[in-house]
Amino acid sequence: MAEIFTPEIVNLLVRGGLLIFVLLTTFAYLTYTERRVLSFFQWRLGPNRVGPLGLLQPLADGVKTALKQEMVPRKADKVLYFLAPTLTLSASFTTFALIPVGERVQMSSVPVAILFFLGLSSMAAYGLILAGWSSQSKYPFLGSLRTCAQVISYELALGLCLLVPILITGSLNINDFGNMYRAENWNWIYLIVLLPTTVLFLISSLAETGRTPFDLPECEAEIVAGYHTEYSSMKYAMFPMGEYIAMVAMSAMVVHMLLGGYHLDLGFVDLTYWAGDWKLGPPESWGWGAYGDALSLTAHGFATTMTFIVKLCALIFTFMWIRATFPRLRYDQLMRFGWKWLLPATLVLIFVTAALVGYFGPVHGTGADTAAQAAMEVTLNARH
Amino acid sequence: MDGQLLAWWMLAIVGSLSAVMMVLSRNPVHSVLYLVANFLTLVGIYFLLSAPMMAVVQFVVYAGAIMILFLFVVMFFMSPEARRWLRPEIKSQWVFGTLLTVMLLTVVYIALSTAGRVADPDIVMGTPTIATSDRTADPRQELGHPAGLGTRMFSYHALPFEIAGLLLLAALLGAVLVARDERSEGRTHLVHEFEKAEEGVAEEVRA
Repeated sequence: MAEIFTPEIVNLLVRGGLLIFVLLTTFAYLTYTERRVLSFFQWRLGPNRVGPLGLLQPLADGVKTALKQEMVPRKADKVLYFLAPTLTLSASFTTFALIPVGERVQMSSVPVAILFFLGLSSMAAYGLILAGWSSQSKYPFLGSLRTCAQVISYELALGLCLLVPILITGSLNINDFGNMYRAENWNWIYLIVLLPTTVLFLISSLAETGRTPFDLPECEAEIVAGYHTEYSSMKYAMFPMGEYIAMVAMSAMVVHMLLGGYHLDLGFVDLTYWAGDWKLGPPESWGWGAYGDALSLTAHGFATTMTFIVKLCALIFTFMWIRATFPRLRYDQLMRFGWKWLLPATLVLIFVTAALVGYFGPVHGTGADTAAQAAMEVTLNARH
Repeated sequence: MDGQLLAWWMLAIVGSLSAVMMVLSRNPVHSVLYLVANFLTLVGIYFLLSAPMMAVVQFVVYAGAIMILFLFVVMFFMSPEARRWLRPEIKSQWVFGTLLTVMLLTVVYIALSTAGRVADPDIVMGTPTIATSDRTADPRQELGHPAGLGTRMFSYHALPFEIAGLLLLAALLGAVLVARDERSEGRTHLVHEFEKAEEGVAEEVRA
């Protein structure tokens, strides 16, 4: 059995565990932040009683949710009823395994990560749909039908939006999206298509994650709480959990598409390279050997991760801002907007992008910092 | 037993079971989900065959997009309170089913045996392997890389690709034609009449 726990596997498990821990904490504090931010938008204070500035509120909420009585409808399709929240949550978590959060800080580097990203977002939708259906009750059923139609309509636009950076970079690797701004043959003219594409992507990701202007699946005035009406306690909590993590994942995609990913490159100087590549992590004297690699990070990796997190926070704030600003759409407006406006617009953008790429040539994102990367490779190899 | 083989056996067993359950299940929603499970095992098998592109396309297009559409349609025609599920019975379906299965297995056997690798039973039983043809030097490269796949599809196989597109368009138009219910068209006509009548009444009232 000993050979099963090779350093690679142990490191993968440790990294996965860390990722899940970080994401769960992120979720807890996102609920707090969202409530606070929305309060400030509405000239209120929001939760500020538990702990300093209300910072322990998520803990109190978590304990309260976990201790709630759990009720399962008698007519529910039991297996699917239990499966649905798990599916949503695990799909959202898995999405994050694909997204690079810093230079060489990533769970797994799949060459076709973008496609996986799209597939996982529809896997999460299965959870929402099945939740409503398996409750065997009217309002959840209506909610799940709405979710289904909405997700199908906006997933198309979402996928087509991602096609624009794919066309520009000629790559399905998320790393290359952020790197394209640093490439030697980068052309600022591509911003003509990238800017509107990102806006459209943001809109369709709002619909895909069911956030405010598009939160018809859980429209409380019409269908109680939509697909999760019959869920209680922790099983209920898993839906907002999945939703928030999906929102973070979508924001991360936007960071890679438009905001230059995890780089802090001002053109004449790359600020993250100042950090150098000395190692952070368990020291050699502890004798952990290769087992400590999951916990170790170069200072450069740390700096890029921090850059990424700051950019991500800005986008998440935008998501909250949108929630505070826009009223909910009507259902026919949602459908008309999705099919008659959003989809044709993305198609036009793709045509324009194809024309631009045909004229100016694709941008090879990895081309610019080959020297720096080669240096990193050397240091990484030297460490092993 | 190495890890790949173990993974293959697990995927094969789960895949076959879910396929059988898809047919046997009386609840259409369960059938759809069994089919999704089957597609997901196929994704795993494509990965084992080192065809990540194929796997991901199977994941996104079939397990993701198309099956969600299936689920939507099935749910549309099934109220959650329905007690009696679908029980489609076609006359002598067992006979035709067996016949089709035998035909399919024959085709699969012929395909595998002409590909050259099936001749050695040890290879088939020992390691799961794709039936490779001799024409391409490294088919894994082509299956695995989107660029290679795209170049091949749009240059060498452009005509079949376009024909498939045309076929889909024809199917789409057919579906629209079938879905266009003449009774409902009559109803919109009636609605117009009704509105006209209402206007007439309103005018009379005004007069």
